[in-house]
Amino acid sequence: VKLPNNGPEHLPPDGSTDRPVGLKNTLPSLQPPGWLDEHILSVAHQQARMNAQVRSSTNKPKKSWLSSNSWVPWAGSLASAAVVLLLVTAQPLPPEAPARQTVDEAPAMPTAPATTAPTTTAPASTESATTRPAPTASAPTRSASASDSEPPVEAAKRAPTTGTKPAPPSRAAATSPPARAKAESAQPQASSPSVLATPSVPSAPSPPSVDAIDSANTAREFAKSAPPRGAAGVRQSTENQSSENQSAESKSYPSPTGAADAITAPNNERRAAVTPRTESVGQCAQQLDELLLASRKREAQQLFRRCAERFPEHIWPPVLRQRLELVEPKPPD
Amino acid sequence: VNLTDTRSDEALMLAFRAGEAAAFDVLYQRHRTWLYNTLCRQLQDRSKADDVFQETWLSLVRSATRYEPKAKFSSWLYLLARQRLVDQWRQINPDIESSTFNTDAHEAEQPDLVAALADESADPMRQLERQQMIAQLESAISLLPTLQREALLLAEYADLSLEEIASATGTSRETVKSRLRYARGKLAQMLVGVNK
Repeated sequence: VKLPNNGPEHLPPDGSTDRPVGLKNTLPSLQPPGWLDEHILSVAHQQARMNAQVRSSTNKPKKSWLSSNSWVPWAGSLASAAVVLLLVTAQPLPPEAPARQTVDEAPAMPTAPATTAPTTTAPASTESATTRPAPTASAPTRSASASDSEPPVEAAKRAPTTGTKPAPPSRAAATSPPARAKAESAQPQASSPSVLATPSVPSAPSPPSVDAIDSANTAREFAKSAPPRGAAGVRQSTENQSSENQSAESKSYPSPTGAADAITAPNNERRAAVTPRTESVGQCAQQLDELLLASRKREAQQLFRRCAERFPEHIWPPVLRQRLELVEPKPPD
Repeated sequence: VNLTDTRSDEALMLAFRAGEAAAFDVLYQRHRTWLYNTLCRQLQDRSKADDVFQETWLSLVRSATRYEPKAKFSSWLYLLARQRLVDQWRQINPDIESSTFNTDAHEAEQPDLVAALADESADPMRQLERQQMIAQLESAISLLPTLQREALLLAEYADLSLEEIASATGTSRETVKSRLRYARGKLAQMLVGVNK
């Protein structure tokens, strides 16, 4: 029997290769029974499924925390919490909150709101004087709160730095109650070069009439820039206005000393003329306009003082003060 | 079963460890015959060979998760089978180890089975004699010492090298070579004696 060669390991020690070897091809091949094959294969397949499950379960923890989705829920909640915290901290407090906090917690250090208030009110007033939008309610309030924490002397010292035409404190500021001082201290903050550049161009001589016209123009412009606070105030009848204003004047607005002789004159017309007819700044300006047109400068001065006293939070333009001769040029040093 | 799978046995075993059942089918088809024939001729009992064969494969299936391709797959497979074989051998002959080692001393004196087979002619007229010789060969193999028969069967049926047989049986390469030489010599002697 010539048997096939099965490999070098089956070669004889002498190295000869001409000898056939291989019991595998010589002896009959035995086969395991079929039931044994089936049993072994079935068990193997079942184990393969188990191995697959074990591998899938053991591979999950090996995933990095970025590739796995388990970090998404807590990361999302953390991000949302951070956003909420940012919103809470970044939300501006109501305007009253800083002032109250300053008054309550640190009454001896009112500088913080005083430094921030002018920076916020000055651009707003400048813009209102140039572009003439409707004045907001928050701007005068802030300026008033700023002047509350700021002494009038400091405001008066700071006034020349903002305006091109520095002037000493007016008589109204010297003689009026603290509310007037507040208005005066707030006024220079609003006096910017843009406001000072708006007055009318001086025209031909005839001093009384020109002065009256300029003053009237200035008051008219100011009346445009300062619309009435409410439409109802404009629509009020003059009778009601005068009665209300008279009662308000007698109660809470005593007349200043500078206008005492004008008010004490037994002239009802004059008294009615120097009394603000409404509580609207715009109507005050309109009344000032009428007086200036009539060359009744003294009455206009008195009316302006009353208006400034009645609306201390309002920013009155320095041009109007100049026209009313309420502001005197600063004497040279 | 995909018999055209060209992956190595080790790769198939790794695939089966990963959960691919078809890989085991290929492995089983490749190695079932030689293992079964080896076991049958080792134990000389089909029923015992069936038990060892089944236990061997089931042990492979259970230990698949711990498989590492450090050695040839067939060596590892027979190592699993041999653990059961040794139990069977010890039931038959408790002194199997000593009797086997005693045969190594007569290595140089034994004739070579291959040389004896080489003397056989390929003449078709002697086909009947060949069939008779195969039966005699089966009988001669059964008469071999256990470890020599084991080495011979692993070399002839499993196509394992000396190193792989040594690894599968836990011996040295020289010992395996000696066992093979003894086994072949005894077979040749028996076959020549029968032919004479």
